[in-house]
Amino acid sequence: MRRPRHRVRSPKELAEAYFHEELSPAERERLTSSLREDAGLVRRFAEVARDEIMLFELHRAAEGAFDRASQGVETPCWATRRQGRRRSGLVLWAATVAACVLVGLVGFRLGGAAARERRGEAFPVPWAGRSSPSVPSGSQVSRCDSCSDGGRT
Amino acid sequence: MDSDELLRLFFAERPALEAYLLAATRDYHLTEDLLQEVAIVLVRKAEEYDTSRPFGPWARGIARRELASYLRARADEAAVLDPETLEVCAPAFETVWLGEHTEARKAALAECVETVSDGGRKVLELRYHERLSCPEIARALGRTVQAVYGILKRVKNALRECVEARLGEARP
Repeated sequence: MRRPRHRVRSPKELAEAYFHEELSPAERERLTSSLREDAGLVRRFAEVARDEIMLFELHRAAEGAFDRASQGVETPCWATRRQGRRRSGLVLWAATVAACVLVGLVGFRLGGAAARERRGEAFPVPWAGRSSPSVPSGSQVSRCDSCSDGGRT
Repeated sequence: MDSDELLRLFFAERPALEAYLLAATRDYHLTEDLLQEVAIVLVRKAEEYDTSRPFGPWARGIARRELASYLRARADEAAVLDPETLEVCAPAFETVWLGEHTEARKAALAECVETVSDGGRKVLELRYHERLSCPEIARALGRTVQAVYGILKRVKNALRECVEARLGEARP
């Protein structure tokens, strides 16, 4: 709603607009001189100031209630929860990775063993494919004297 | 005068001082800051207070000096109303709070704000909660400043009528 530029506002209108509008220097001057002469206008101006303060207080009270609620219950709670979530997320991630590696290794070994079993191969031993365990050259191998074949097999 | 008595007098006078400072600055944030300064000076000068004289004018004198020192420091922000006019208004700032059922008025206002349309509520929140100026509200809403002036005027008039009606109903 555009205010017509030519319309001269009454002192009462100026008093009511004073707290939120930018008055022109001429309007300010007219309000000032009217306030000095008109006790009724002064009363109205004081009421406008009171209503203005009450509106600010009302909204501040609402803001205070919101802050109290957020400080007393929500903020620390969700801050803690968020930290907790972050920490448990890391633990979960590490545990998942470890579990995947473990399952992968076991699956690989079991799969390999099953395949060898199907092919009729012996259970894999580290020296599988060789004729006998490798013995480092020059090392002493004790004979099994109690064995029937003298420990040859 | 002991500090308890001084604080009791200060809190009784506070609304009138607040209105005085708001009329001088038109800035609620600044008004709050100045009011705190006034409270500090009042406590510091408690010994100087002549208890045979009314507290209001003495406290207002301190508020006026705090205001003047602020305005000197911020020469770019002139008070809109001159000190003489503010002095003319000062007794009325007191009387509108005295003899007034302040709590009943606040309760009525809180109820009346609930009845304001969504558009009006948005402007009220930006003005009194976010403490934006009308040009800032206009930018935020994509409206003209004159449109925001018009909305505020209508909403305030509606609130005043609503509050008076509710207080009228409550009166015997």
